[in-house]
Amino acid sequence: MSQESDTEIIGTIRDGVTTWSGLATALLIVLALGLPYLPGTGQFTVFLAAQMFLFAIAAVAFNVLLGYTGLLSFGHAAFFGGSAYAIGFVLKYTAIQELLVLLPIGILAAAVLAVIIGFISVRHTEVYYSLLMLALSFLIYVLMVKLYNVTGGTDGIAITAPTVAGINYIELWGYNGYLMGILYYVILFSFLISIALMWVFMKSPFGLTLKTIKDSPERARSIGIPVVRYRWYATIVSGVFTGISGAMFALLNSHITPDTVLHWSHSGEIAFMTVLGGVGSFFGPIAGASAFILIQSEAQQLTEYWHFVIGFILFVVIVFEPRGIAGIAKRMYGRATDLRTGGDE
Amino acid sequence: MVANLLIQQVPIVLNALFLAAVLFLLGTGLSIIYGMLNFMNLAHAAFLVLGAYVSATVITQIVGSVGASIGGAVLFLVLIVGLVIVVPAIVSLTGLAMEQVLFKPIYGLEDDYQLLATFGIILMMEDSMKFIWGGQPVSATTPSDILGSLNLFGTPFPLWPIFATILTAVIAAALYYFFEETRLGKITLAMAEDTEVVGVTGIDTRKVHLQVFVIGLALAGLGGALYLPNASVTTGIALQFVILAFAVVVIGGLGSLKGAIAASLLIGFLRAFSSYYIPQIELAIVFLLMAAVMLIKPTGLFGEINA
Repeated sequence: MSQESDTEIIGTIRDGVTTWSGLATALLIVLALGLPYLPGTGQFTVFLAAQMFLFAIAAVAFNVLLGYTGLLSFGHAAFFGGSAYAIGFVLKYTAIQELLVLLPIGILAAAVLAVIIGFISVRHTEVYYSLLMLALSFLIYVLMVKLYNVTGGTDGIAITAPTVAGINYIELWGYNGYLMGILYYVILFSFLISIALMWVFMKSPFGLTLKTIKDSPERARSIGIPVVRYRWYATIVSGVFTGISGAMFALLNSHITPDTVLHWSHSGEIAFMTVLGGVGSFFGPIAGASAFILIQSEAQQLTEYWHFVIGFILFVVIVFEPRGIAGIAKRMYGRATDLRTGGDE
Repeated sequence: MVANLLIQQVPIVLNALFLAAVLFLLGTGLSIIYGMLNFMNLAHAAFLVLGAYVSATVITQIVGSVGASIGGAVLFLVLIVGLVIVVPAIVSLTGLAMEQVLFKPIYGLEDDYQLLATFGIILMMEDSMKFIWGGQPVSATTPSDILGSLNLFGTPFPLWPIFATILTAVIAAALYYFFEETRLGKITLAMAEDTEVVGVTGIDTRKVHLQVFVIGLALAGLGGALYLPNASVTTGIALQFVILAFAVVVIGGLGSLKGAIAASLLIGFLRAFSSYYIPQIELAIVFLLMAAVMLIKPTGLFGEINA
């Protein structure tokens, strides 16, 4: 079922690239590029948009596991926070301040964590995979809290604004100029490049193999696919991109603590974005991440009990619309097509 | 010198037994609900936290209304009745109401989706508890205060953990009897193997399901009730218990009472000793053990049901 509808969605998108949806995507990218220069755009809007982009990376990466490989991770905070903390440590203990050095270090840290945690976790599937990921990521959270001599404990680490290609923009332009002129674009381009890379991954034989495994592990095994190894690879790919997301989060928020990047609730939040956006679709989680950031920023202003709101939405989506926003969009698109063609299709 | 070292271990052992008792009450409930009803409830541990909060209110209410007129032993007896009967009853009734609205619609889903949906339920429960009892740590130590402490080689040690451990041992024995000797217990074990076949024989499986569910939640609630007088509770501790509950199930093996006892003791001792000697990483050690067991013997130390 999922494979059929997946190819269907992908087919729809591919057909659309040359038509209106391709144009719409191009328009959205142009809009995103011009956002800081639009009239009426303040620091807050840019900050919010940057958050949407960075979490969208994590949500799409999460879907590589949940939607494409059929593994539910409850430990993505480890990769998200691991990358952020690696950058924090380098800034705290060395003189390195260059983004082009910091980012690869963050990604490398996430990759190392994904290699180790993934290697252990993929021995199991389903609930046991989720629990191993949860336990191992909580292990890292606990270590960061308890080894406070090195890690700063619950106070966390300050992330000073890095230089980009050797230029200290914050001295030149101040924080506002740095955010609007540099950081926003760093995050936007990380987003675009990550999404493009994951798109290529998922269209490649690698991605198709993952789907085969998801649909029937037994069949995949019988045609000679090393199922466990591919699940491991998928965890690593997902972890690396989640690491990019975590690095961007650290840069954008200028301060990280175990609770803001490593806590298990962030694993849950990433899962939430993916499910809300649509597990069966590649682009759905981007919408899910944007919706989450909007809900969060609105609900946080309304009530201190915004976790209740998030939990309620998650529950309702799973019970009533397991395919999320993408499912709703697809149904509406289908209905619109029916109307246009007089219901012949 | 050696004697001194041994004496030093006694309070740690008593603490270990107390931790094991609370974990047993928590883990057994999760184990029978997942093992026998095949329902993956991430939110199970939140019912322990709920039990602890309700206990705080029950204790405060009892002490406030009759604490002045009756003293010592009688008050303690009333408090125990409150903690052992009223608190689990309130927790089970809350859970039963939630079952109708929240859990029932997700029974048919895959395990992954059950995990996600119950994660949503944890978020709702945590915020609801925060709404009712506030974000500050809540504690009510009256039962422990009345019981006083024991002179343990010159240092006082509270009697409450010892009392709670003995009570849990009695409950463990009762549970053992329940599963091995009573009709309902045997039906439950049969349902763990194949619910449909049990249904075909004319047994109302939905009714048994609800009864087992209530027992599981009551145990979690009781765990909270025994935990509170010696500690304090905040909403944040739910996660710790979520993972510890699963550690009990994973290490002990699914649906195995013996396994749950062994795993609780193992984790209890591990935590008590590591928090005394290497406090920085006490929780981490438990999770490492859990990961190790999953890798070496995925069915758990005593489990036969393959997950």
